[in-house]
Amino acid sequence: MKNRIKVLRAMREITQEDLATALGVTRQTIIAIEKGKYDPSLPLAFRISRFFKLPVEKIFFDEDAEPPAP
Amino acid sequence: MKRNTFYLLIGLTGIILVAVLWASIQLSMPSLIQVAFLVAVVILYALRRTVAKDIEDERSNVITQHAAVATLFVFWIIFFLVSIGSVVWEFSRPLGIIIPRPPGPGPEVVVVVGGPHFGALGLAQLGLLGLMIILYGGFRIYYARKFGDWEADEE
Repeated sequence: MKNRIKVLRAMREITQEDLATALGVTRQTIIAIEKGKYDPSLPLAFRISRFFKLPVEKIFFDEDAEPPAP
Repeated sequence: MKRNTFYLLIGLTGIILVAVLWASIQLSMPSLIQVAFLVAVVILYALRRTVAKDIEDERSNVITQHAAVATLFVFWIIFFLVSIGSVVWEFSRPLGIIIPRPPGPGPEVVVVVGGPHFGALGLAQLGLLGLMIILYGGFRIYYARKFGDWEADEE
């Protein structure tokens, strides 16, 4: 599964550390999610969704699918 | 308590336990090391509650779960191999069972002197326990890498 977290972070000028603290996870987890090494659980995906105030499907998308329009 | 202080205490406890093990062997008193080990584990568990914890998030839990399952999956096979080998070894020698037979000349009854050698069993178990820890450590490293530990990042 791919995601747009890195782009969304950059747009809001948020560091990985800040995002990790806000979500209650480690910075290493944010790095792993951004690089596609780890797929977050549904609760964490929804926390990310609430943090960026975007629907989940606007942040996460299938590897074969086209990325959603911002 | 800091995490590193706790690790130092674990090391110190290990050294003390080795000394107690030596004393236990010298005194032929297994209960000494057994009680000492139990007390050490209780103290370390109590101290662990005071350690300042790093964030344990869902990814580290997933790594732990995967490593534990993989360890169990491999370990039961090795445990079975050792056990079945031991069973063959045990049944390959006279068991000391005297089968009732009618009086008169017959085959000589084999009497086995001495019982099972439990010390060897303990050594084998310790070896297997050590192997289990090594397997778990290896799988933990494997899954930590798989789920993105030690990934270089530009930030």
